[in-house]
Amino acid sequence: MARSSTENMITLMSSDGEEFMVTEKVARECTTIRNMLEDDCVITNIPLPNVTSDILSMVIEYCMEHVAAAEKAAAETAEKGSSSAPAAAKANKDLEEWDKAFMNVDVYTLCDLILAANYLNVSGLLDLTIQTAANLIKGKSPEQIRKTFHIQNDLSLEEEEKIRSQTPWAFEKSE
Amino acid sequence: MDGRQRRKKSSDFELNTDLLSRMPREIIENILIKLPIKEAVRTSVLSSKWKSSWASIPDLVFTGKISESELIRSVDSVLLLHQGSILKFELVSRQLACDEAINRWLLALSKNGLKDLRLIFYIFKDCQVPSSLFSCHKLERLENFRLHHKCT
Repeated sequence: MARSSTENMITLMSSDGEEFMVTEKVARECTTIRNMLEDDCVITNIPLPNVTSDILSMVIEYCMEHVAAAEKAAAETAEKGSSSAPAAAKANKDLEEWDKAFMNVDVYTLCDLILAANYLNVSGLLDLTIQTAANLIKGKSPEQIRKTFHIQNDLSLEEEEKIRSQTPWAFEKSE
Repeated sequence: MDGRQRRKKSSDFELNTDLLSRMPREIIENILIKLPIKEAVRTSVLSSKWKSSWASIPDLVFTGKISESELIRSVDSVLLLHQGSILKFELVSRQLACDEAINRWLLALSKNGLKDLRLIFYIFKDCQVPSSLFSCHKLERLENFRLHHKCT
């Protein structure tokens, strides 16, 4: 029950057997893990059979960055009594920039990250990756989207024509 | 902090795998929700799997500079093809003279558990509150509904 002053460490194990030791605080960024810890507070070793080591290391990197940013903001607030608006805005901007750089990944990694963020329930990372995927679709022709995500077009010309005719406005060039 | 060079390709992938096909349905929906409705609908021609993916998104937002007739055409066809619940419906338009269309849409929406309705028209004009609005029993939010109330 009593919490020691040193931070609890949790070991996360990827599907390919790699172990990652993280602070409980970082692990709790994943709602799935937080729930496990709340159900069983003595658990220290968590196998994650759906996440490879490559992807897990990235998820941890994301969580560590976001925990560090939140801690820094909290420390500044405590120090000054209240948070200064410009400093908070800058911190937010920095974190946004960090997120943007973090999303500089190939489409395979992006899709794996979406699945991992969904499985581990890291809402910030899920939003970020889903928005990135949507940005890859935005403004592109169907052919370009197929190419990006390796989608095989199994529709016949007639079928495609029929689909287009149901919503012709969606295929008209405008704006 | 600069962008990094990294990322081995996931080993369990072949280059030709449809990357989005293993995604749960709600993830695809969440991706489509982030797109303008026109682009979401356009994904229907990607493949047979994608044909009706857009048709279950729960949020429908119609914005953009389109003519009134195009707006009516697009909303009508989306509501006709949509499957499942529509929780949010937002329409931003210069004006919409056709009360009949709004009435028709609200009637369709009222059967789909609508919670959030935003009808935003830049040009103010007198018209009646469509009675179908009162059958949206689950409505929690109604915004900028620029219609004059006229008791009938």
